[in-house]
Amino acid sequence: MERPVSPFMFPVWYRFQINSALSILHRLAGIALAVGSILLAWWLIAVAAGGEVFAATHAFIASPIGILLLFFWSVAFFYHLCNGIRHLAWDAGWGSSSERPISPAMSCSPRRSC
Amino acid sequence: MANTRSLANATALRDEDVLRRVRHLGSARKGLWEWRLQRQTALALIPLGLYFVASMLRLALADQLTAARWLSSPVPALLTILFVTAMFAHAVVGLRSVLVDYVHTRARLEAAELLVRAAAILLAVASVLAVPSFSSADREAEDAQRLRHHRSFL
Repeated sequence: MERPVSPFMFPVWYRFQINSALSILHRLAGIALAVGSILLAWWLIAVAAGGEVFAATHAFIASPIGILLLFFWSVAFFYHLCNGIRHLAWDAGWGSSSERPISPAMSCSPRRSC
Repeated sequence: MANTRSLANATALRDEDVLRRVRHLGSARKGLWEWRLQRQTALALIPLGLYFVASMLRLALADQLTAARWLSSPVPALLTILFVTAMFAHAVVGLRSVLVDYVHTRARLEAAELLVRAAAILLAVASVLAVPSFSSADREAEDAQRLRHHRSFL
């Protein structure tokens, strides 16, 4: 069967555009943040519990893997934050005007599906 | 659920003419409430999240005494509790929309949603309960440190 079938559309049959790429990145960042928040809650509980639990958690966070995870969580956080503000601006009504945007691809308005 | 056919449904000429029962996942019910909660927690999480990340820059690798002392003072404790609550509420609504998009069986969708919601409630309540106990953990850690100093003098 030669015809393009999802999810194998990218990148041969369906080219990424800036608005769809940003949108899926927003979703992926959200999922990464949710998974990372488990570690966050664990850290809070460990600080309260003290002793052995905190030592183990601190050792994991201070290890290279832990620092890498923290870094990627922060990247996902800031991306999700800025793109989230963009979403909130759309919800408030900005961005769907009829004047020319900076780039046609940036006018990912609620009226146009991303 | 969609297989029971009443007489009225059976005699309608075409289903798209007369939709007598909302199909698939049913009507939106609390959908608008969730949408608004998502936007409200998003607004709250802009300052709360920035505050939390900024404090974590200092505290993620700190020892327990520093962290417990910071979290036992009222303003950081309050903002941390608010941040954790808002974040888990926002995460549950967001993950729900992801699950609805990608899980196609009703039973699996319900199970997955339940799992996500249970995990979020567990972690959120545990974190919120951990914050007031910081004052006692603070004192415990201070006592431990005092004992260590005494021992080093001997």
